[in-house]
Amino acid sequence: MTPSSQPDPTGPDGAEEVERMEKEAITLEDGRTLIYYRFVPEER
Amino acid sequence: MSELRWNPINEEWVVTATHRQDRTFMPPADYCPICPTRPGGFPTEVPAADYEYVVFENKFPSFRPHPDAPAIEGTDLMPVRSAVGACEVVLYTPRHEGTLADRTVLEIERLVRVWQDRYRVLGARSEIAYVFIFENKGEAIGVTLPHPHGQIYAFGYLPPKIERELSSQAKYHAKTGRCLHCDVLDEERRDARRIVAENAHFVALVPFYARYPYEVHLYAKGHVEAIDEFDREARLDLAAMLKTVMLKYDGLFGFSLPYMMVMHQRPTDGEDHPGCHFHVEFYPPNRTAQKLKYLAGCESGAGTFINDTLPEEKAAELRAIPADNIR
Repeated sequence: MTPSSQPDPTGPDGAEEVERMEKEAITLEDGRTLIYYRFVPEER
Repeated sequence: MSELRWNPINEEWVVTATHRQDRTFMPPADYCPICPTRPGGFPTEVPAADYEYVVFENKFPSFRPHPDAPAIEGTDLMPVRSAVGACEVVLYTPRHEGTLADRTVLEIERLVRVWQDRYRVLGARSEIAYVFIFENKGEAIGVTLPHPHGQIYAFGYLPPKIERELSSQAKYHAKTGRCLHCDVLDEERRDARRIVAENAHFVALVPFYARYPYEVHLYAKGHVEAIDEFDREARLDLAAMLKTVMLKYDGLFGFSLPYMMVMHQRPTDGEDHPGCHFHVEFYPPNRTAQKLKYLAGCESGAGTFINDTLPEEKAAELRAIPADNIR
């Protein structure tokens, strides 16, 4: 499995979000892609 | 194996996907393939011991980014094409039991963000013409896994129902300069008899032309073409309205109502499609607690739905079911 992590801190038009959406993509043994989505509070 | 076979009589593609015959069908809860993989437990499709939301490529896809060559050669009259596209599964929760209606508004708002992301990512691919987000819920719909989840089909072409909608809204726009959906929504809100619920950004209604007794369409009040345009405030309202409709459904007969939920929005084929307007359509198959609406001879053979009920009465029934103070 090959992980890759990618934060996505903005919403539509770059508007600031209360939570940060993080994505972690892995490659399953049969070659398919699976992505974990996590939500982390933005520090103010 | 999957391929597209052209029906020149109906002018539509039919997907032949024979491998889907072998997909997992209603496994016992201990062997649910989309639960997290618990330590020492059955290895599921999700390797993690816990998760919030997961999206993965369907193990039994109707469309793939790089499909095998078609199993049969087409002709000029009846061509065959590779079934290019993508099929994804969206897991709403690590918990096996329950439904989307059990999730909080904030949890559903996060799901809307996941949908937004998939719409952007899949729609950015040059081979994808339409990102179709949907959920089939309940055995009556033919669901094979009860774990709460939805699906996304990224089509390499515009599916026929979408194409028909695009055509009618484009014709209306050319004639009037206005959005067909906005005008339908204005008329529904003026009439008010078929409105089920409303908040700042969304309206839920049983449409004037409902085909299923409890069909509900959920419209963005403003002219919004696609899900990726919603900011946090609109997403929270969409989440609240989705939950409201689902709670009302579940209050109808004392059991969790099966439904098909589909989203219609702007295609991603790069073409100009005037008059697109984001909306969600719910099609519950129940016409009473015990009786289902079947797509029988007239619906399947002639394409005309017979609705045995009055939309105005069904809307009033749904309106009367409490779904207040939702969180």
